[in-house]
Amino acid sequence: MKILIYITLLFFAFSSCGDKGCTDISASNYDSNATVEDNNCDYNYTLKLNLNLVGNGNVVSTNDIVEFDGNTFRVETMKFYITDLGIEADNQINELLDVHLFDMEKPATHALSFEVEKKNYTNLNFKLGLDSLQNSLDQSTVATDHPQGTDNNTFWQMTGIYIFVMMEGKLNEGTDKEKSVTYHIAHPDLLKNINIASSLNFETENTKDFTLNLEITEIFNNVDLNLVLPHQQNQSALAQQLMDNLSTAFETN
Amino acid sequence: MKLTKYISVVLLSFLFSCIEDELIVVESIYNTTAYDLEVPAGFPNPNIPNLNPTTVEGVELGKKLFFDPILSGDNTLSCADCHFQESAFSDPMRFSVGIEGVQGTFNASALVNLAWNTSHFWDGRSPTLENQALQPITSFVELHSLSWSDVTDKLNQNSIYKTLFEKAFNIKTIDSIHVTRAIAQFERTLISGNSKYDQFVNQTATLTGSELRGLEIFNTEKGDCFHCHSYPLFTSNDFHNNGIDTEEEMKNGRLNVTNDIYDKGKFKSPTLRNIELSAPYMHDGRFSTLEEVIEHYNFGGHESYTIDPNMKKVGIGLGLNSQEKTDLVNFLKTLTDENFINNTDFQP
Repeated sequence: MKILIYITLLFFAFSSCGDKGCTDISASNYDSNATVEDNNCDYNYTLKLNLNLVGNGNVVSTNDIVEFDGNTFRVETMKFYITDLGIEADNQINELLDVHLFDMEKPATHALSFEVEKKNYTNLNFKLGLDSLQNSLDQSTVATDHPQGTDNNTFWQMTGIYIFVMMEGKLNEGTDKEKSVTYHIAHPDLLKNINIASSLNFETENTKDFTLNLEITEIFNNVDLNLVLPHQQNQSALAQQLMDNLSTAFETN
Repeated sequence: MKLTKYISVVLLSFLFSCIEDELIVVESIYNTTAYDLEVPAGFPNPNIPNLNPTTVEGVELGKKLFFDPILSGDNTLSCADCHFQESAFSDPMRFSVGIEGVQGTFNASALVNLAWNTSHFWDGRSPTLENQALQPITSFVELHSLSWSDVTDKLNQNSIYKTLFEKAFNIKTIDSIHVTRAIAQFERTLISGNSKYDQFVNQTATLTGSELRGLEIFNTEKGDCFHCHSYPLFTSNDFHNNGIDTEEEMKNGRLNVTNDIYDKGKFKSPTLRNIELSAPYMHDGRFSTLEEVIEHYNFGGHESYTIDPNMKKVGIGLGLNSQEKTDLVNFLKTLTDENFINNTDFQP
């Protein structure tokens, strides 16, 4: 009888101990064996940035047709460089990436994910185009599928720089105003800083989805559709107009 | 009972000693040496599939297969019979003739810098060289073996190939996967990056006045060639409709792969390296000379709903005069790489 009591006491003693650890499944150090919370859970804070090309608010895919000001535009190609992407909190910028190429035809380039610090970020900053250092990258030193690699076909050997924005398509198909568009914009002077006010408060949430849309119809604002964009663009009013338009065409949901 | 146990132990010990002897006999001959591809200055590193690293043994085997008619249905035709080194491994005939005497409908592509290609065939239907090499073997208009097992049966009966495949891939039974891996390894060594133009870029050669003027035309709005044929590979690895046909005449091209109607009439832009040697031109070999090709672009091309936006002078033409056309041809000829077409490593 004494032995039975002893065993029973031992059983209760061990069972009440349990394994201590983090029991919150959303924590980065979640311990599936833990039965007792030790109050030492760690958390990752993740920014999921979705980039979309949109036409009148609707997501645009290759060969979709968008309408603007009585015109139509079928989008065949859309690539642009986003660089020095960062998020800002308390006047400090946390840089998230150096160079990224959005390519409409490559869905993998439409979604980015970053681990960030637990802060309340109020701005998203980036550049449209490449700065002189990024532009000087020797293409042969990076993988072919790197944003500046040969697979993307964005390097202009003749000028020694990369094309910041590559937009191609057909205007007003099937009408007497039909015309091909090739806006290939590349010049160091045309680099644009873009600042998007945003509410990215990681003090209240671990994961934030943030969508940045480029409204393609905005790109044509005040653009003479009869003009052709020359390759040497530092003095081109059209190139400057297009980059001005692009820099204000980013919208958040 | 004791006697039975004793006999069993003796028999077992004999058996194990036999197995040990066998193990010594079947010691593997698989022993590969990594093959370092010579990447030309200015070229990025090629993407080599992890499943098929390039080895000395694999390349040698691939070369033997490339030149061996054993891969064809009647043992008369090899890969090399439609891909001639002096023609940058293309076929000077507009359409190659298969073993049945039947011609295809596409010009055999030049085999140049394939290690950097992101797709193969004019319509890009093969994403890898290994996949590409699968197709001509059984194609009715090419080597036309009835099946891949017919080919591997022949190879498995050949003691030389049995040894070479074991050395290169550590396999006892030859299969289509390893045949195509070997051919792909050899084809990745077909690298061309020492043309006169490369020497000019590397400042070890000078271009003539005409060649320099041609380069200017190539790289500016005047010719607008560089969009689809940019340095260093002189291909965008992409698909374009360059307006050689009217909308009614257009072949399917890339449409056959994507089922996207907006890909009709689009074909892969080929590399221009060694273009002087790889006539005839276009997917169907319709142009016999570079002059004819330039005349097409000078005309401006035919309008269609899939014509490439970079064909900016449809209905107008480039407006090149006689001298400018000559200059452009002269520049294109600087992309000829004599080392490439004389390299004995590419010969049987």
